[in-house]
Amino acid sequence: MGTAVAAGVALAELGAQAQTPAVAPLRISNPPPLLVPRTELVIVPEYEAQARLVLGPARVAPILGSDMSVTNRITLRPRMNINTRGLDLTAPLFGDDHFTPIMVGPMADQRRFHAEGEVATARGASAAKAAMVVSSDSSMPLTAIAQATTAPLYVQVYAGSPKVKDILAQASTVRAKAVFVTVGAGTSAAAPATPAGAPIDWAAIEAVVKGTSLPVIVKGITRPQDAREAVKRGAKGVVVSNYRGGSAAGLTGTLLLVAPVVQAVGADVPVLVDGSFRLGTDVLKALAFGAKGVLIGRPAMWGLAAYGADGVQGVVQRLQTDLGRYMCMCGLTSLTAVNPSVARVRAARIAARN
Amino acid sequence: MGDIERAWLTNPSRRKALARMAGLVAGSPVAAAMAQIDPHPLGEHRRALSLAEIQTIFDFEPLFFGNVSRTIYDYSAHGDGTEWSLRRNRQAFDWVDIIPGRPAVAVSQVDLSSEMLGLKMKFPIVIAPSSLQVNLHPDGEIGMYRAATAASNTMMMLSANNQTPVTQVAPAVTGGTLWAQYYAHEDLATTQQWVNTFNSVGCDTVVVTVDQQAAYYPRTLHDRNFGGRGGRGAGGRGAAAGAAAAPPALTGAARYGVNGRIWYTWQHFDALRKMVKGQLLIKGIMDPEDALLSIQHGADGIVVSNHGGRSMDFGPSSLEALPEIVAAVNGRVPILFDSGIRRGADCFKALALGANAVCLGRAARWGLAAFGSAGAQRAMEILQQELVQTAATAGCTKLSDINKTKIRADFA
Repeated sequence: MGTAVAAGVALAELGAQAQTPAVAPLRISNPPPLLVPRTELVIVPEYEAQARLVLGPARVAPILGSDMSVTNRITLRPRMNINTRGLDLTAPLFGDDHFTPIMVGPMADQRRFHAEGEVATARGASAAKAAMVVSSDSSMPLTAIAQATTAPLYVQVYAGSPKVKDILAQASTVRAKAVFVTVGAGTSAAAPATPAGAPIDWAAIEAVVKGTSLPVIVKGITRPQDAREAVKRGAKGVVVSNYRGGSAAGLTGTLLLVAPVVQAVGADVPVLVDGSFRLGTDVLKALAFGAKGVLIGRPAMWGLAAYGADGVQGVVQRLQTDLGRYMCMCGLTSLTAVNPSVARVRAARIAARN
Repeated sequence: MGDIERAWLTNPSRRKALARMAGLVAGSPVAAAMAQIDPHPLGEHRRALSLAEIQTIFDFEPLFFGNVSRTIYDYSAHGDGTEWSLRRNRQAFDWVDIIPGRPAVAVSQVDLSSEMLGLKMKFPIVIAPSSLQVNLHPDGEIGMYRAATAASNTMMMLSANNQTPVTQVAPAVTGGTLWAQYYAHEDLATTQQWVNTFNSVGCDTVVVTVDQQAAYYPRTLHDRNFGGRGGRGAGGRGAAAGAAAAPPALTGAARYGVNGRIWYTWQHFDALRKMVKGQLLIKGIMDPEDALLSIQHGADGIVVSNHGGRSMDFGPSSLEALPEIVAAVNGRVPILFDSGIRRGADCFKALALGANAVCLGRAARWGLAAFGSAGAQRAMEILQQELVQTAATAGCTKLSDINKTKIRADFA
């Protein structure tokens, strides 16, 4: 498949070289990338290759890669002879009953990946009954995104960003259900991230809490004491997140950071998590550590880039179905049944052979 | 005009020109690197081995691959999801070391015969139930049964998903032992019919599989890159596997596109227990608590298995689940083990960790697919011989010598 595309490019280049004044220019257009039909993709990571085909190496770069080092050390606990036909993944979060605890996280400037950008993402997420968090650096107007949305809609702002006031005003206009404030990541998608370990600007969080009647969720928490402080300053939830990939910043994957944060804030404050969630099993592991919801970023963009709204829907539904499947195979019929014994952290190993 | 072309034109000796060409090639670092890549290195030369040349189980695998269509290969070879658990099944054997015996004993002194659930075994190796064996070779299930019986009277479990019904397989071989594997059917009347059929052909021991509740084979069903052609499009199994196909009025698990045997309960197991007059084993147990429940509900034996990595991705490997289950069961019922056995040393490790016998799935299938019944028999004999060899090296003369003291396991 890749060869076919490369051959097409090579032919086009030959065509350009073959131009002479005497003959009409030879035009060989690039054949469209040969995408695998979306329904044939089996696991979410397979969308990544499709996005690469559509976007090419330069444009796909920001959404490539996953850090599976932590999730690959965790096993789930299969349980037998438990009827799970009544499986219910309903997740009550911030005043809404979500279809599942999986939502589409904030990603900036989605027109980089698809002409319809955030509007297509909203349509796909809503088709899968999944909530969406819209980035403050969205490439489409929030009103258009809201029009395409039938599931709960959330907006995101960077703590201390000059956009805060404007975004909060828009959020109430479009009836967003909550505001996610990103900390530790600078004041926009383009700005350099705050160095790891730098103190959080709590005054900026308080400014957002004061500026809106919506629940405020602090995104970018990695330490229990920060989570506790966020709740003290008025946060109604936190998102464990190490922003832009933990491996780049030398941080570990977020899965193992969830349990301490959950313990710090208590059962009443929902803890969400993001960072390299690629499989239904990854989501179940996060739930086992006490997370109440999971945000997916890059996989949704893979789906968007390759198949538009259908792709976003496909990615989200695959994760929903697989979360359900693995919960059934672990004998769990509802999110409240998920407990720490479901996941077990194993030693890091290097496979010697196979 | 370059040197080479000029040489071709001016020098009648091609040999000389070729020598110059070689010199040019050797002078260029890129070409020198290319020259290192022999397109057909002798070391990669392969021809199909004859049965007499087969040395290990792994030798069968490429022949299996070559003998069947891609779809059939994929169905047999692949596992659930990302196949993380499928790989871990094999990797886990690396985490167990066998301690060499001082002194090692002679192979002739090793006798691994035992009795389990009334079954007299010369070697603690049996054939796991595995589906659709006619697809692998025309000899099919009967060929597998014949092979097992010829290989020192190895017991075979016949899959319920067979292509030769038990009524034909059971009488086809005299002197063999056949157990019947069964996937519980929600309708108890149907279950009773199955049990009656098993009884009518003398298959009194039934193995009921309880794992793979919500599993399917999306990879082989959906993905054309893996040869899957079955059931794509609207209404097919492939379509039903994803949430996209879910019609709006669904309830429960079906809302999320989750289907399958998720109705399994211990009550249903109890009903089956009442129906089966002979021994009832439970297959697919991967957790000590489930092992204890199995005993409470009257199972006569437990098969520790993650279905060869086909049931639940990111579940533990069967081998690392085994010691905890052995500890919980504490000898009350026999424990069989499967998933990942390819060598005699693998059998030894599972037995040392507390299994009473090991079951062969893919290992026997590769043999059957490669050479029919004769290949399957050879596969079993290879493992029997390798196990005896390993036992001798570890200083074990009888089955009970193969225990925890002969290995070091690291399942952290």
